[in-house]
Amino acid sequence: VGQLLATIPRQAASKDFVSSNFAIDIPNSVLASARQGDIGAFEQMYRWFERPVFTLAHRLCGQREEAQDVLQESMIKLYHKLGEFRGDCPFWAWFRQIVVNECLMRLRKRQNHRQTELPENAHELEDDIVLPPQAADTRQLNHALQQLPDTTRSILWLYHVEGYTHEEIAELMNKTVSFSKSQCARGGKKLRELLSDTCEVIHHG
Amino acid sequence: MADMSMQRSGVCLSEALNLLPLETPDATTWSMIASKINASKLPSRTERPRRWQIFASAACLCTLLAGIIYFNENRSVKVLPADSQLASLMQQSSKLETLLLAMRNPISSNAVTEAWQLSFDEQLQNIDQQLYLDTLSQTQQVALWQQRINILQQANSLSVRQRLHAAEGSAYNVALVESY
Repeated sequence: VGQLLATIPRQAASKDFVSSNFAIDIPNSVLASARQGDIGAFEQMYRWFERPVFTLAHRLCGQREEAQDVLQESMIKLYHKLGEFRGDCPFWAWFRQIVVNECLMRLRKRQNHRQTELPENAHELEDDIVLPPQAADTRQLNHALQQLPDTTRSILWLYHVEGYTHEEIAELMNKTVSFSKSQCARGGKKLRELLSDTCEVIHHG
Repeated sequence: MADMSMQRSGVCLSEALNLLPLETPDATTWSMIASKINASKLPSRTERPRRWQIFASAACLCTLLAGIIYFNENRSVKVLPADSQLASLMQQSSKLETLLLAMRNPISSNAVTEAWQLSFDEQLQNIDQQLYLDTLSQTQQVALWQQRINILQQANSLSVRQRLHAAEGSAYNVALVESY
């Protein structure tokens, strides 16, 4: 978790739709029992967080099997690190940082083998991207997301869904703020192209 | 799924991503996590003996041998009056019992070890029950204490050999066969 715990992301007020699925308030009694090693209380916590963790891991890593591994590793780390939670931020935000770090660590290992981001373009900083109506179809949007490079997809998700700022993303990924902004804009446009292509295929088919 | 207005006019990127439903992991995930957590709580039984364990075992053996030699010398050379002889035997028994308890390792124990430990414990209990009787003469008491010490020495000797065999990575059952 390290120093990044100090930079728990703030929910950007301008982004109306940002509402992390992680934002679950755990009762203090459950948290206290889990910290004392009560496996029953810990299972209760798992049941609350399993789907948000799995979804975030699947979006960032892009593979269901790897998301499954991230879920397991993150929960085991959480069990052993519960005593380190000092309560100076919401528990869910603290735990989410463990999951994000686990995902990014796996992405960094992949970066040695293939390109995980779109080519950078400093002029493309468009933020309010409107997708074609196909974006309302879960299957089509999921399919388009899977076609984005890993890093680009991760930045899009962290910014638009989890509410991280570009500064926070840049720090997490050891990149510049302009890199995060550029990937966000390029990823959005690529997503729009992919969904538009699907639309044309449907119309012409 | 989004509503009809979204399908007609397009949808904002943030809104579209946030409307994606949560995904569900495999149902077996929790059992795997729970088993890993439980496994992490237990010390590994297959750990190779560390260098300090070998030295500790050797030190125990030396201490025990020194104790046995000292006891035997004392027993053979000095002729003590009955009272002081009894006190000396009790003291010796106490030392050997403390040493035996210190050497017993519940983590590395096995069925064979448990069996002979129970056997020694049973023999000690029988002697202790006899020692509680008020009708014993001093000679009988000395004999029982002497018997108690002999049993503790045997138990300690086996414990030391068990530790040495474990430190060398060989099976302890060999030591048991050799001893009997």
